[in-house]
Amino acid sequence: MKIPGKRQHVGVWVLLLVLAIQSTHTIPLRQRYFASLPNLGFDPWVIFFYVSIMPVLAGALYLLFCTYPWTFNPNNRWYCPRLNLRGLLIQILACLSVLAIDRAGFLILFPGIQPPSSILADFGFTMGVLLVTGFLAVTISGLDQAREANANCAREAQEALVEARARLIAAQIDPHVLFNVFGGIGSLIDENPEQAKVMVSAASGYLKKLLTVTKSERIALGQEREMIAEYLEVEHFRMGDRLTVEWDWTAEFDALMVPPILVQPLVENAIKHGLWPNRKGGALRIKAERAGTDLMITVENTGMPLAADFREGGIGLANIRSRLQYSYGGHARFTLVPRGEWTVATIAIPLETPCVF
Amino acid sequence: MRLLIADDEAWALKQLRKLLQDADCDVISEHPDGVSVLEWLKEHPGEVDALFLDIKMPGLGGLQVAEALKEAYPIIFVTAWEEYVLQAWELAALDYLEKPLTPPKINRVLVRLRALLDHRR
Repeated sequence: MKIPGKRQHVGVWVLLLVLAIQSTHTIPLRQRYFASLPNLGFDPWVIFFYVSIMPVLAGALYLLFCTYPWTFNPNNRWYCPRLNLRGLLIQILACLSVLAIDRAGFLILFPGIQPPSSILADFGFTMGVLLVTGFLAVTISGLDQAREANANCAREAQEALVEARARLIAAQIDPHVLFNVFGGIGSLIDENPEQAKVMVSAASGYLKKLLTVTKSERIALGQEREMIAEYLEVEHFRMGDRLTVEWDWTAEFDALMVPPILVQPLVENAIKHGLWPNRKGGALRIKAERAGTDLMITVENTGMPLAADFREGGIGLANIRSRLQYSYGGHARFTLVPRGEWTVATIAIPLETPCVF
Repeated sequence: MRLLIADDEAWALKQLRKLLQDADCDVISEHPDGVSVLEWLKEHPGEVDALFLDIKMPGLGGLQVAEALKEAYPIIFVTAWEEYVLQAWELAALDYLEKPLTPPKINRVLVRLRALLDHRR
């Protein structure tokens, strides 16, 4: 089945509504008019044509010209169509033409007889009918499309989520880092087999968690904490003495359910942009503490300072923000600011998930 | 043969040192970045025979160090990324070591290096 386009869709509704008005108003009016006349000897078929067929034809003819003077705006809160002037002008012209044809038809078919109504009254009534039916048709059709658009939007959101996950995994497994880690482990195997074992288990533990947690909407904060610890183990191995880590994150909040990979990107950014590019390396401090009803997780680093013209261009930070917004609405906060020689990233999330009915 | 080596990956530095020591070289100085290489060479001029430099390092990379030294020392670049090969040759690199490093690769480079040093003497 061919699905009608927008214009046809509205057209069908207008036609149906116009025909409904014609059959409840125009046709009975003309019937009454001819019934009130003395018998003037006109052919009954001609009378039937004028009374019943012409209004229907006029309605159909109107559709050929019609441009609806209404525009449906799905973003309007009340779904109220807006009048548009160009459409209105075209409709007035279409309406006048149809009425002129109708009147000409009357004058040819019934010469010498007073028409049943004045042109002005006809015009006023027809325009009124068209404006109202157009309004209704555009609303019905627009709501239908808005519903369809909403369904599309929900589907797109779903797809975006899937894509975000894929990107998240890709972003966290940087082939460059993997290459270096494997190279490093390779060099350790003969020299220090014990440490090589530790590295393999940290790297594989990190990768395994990464793959598991990205499949869930929420994970226990403890999983994130362990993942970061393993990640840091690997980074420590790569940077050696250049990296010192202070870790003040107890198991107290481990049961809290949070969106996955929320804090890890902050740690990764701190190392990638702050500590690694600095030839002397620096310090990394990770803290999780209660602040009122919130849990505050802070990742601070020395090293390269946050650029003065820093803008959040990276996909990582935008991703954190949008996921916080998605999970907590306005109840979570994320900030990234310089403080002295430190760059401080803070995530605050409610300890009690707000109750949503 | 006295050598200076530089790499920002701690383990890679260690690995390079071990491979060179296994090939009977003296690794006199190790650095995690280019700036400290230049500083060290300023304080200890002529104390090493050649430099093994990683190309990608924080601050100054190996290529910038080579530029600053103006061919004062034979330089062997060490990197995982081929895209730097041409630039390295333009800076009169003696040789180019591609990671992952292996003893045969190191030996090949050392043969060339020894030949160059003997020739200069």
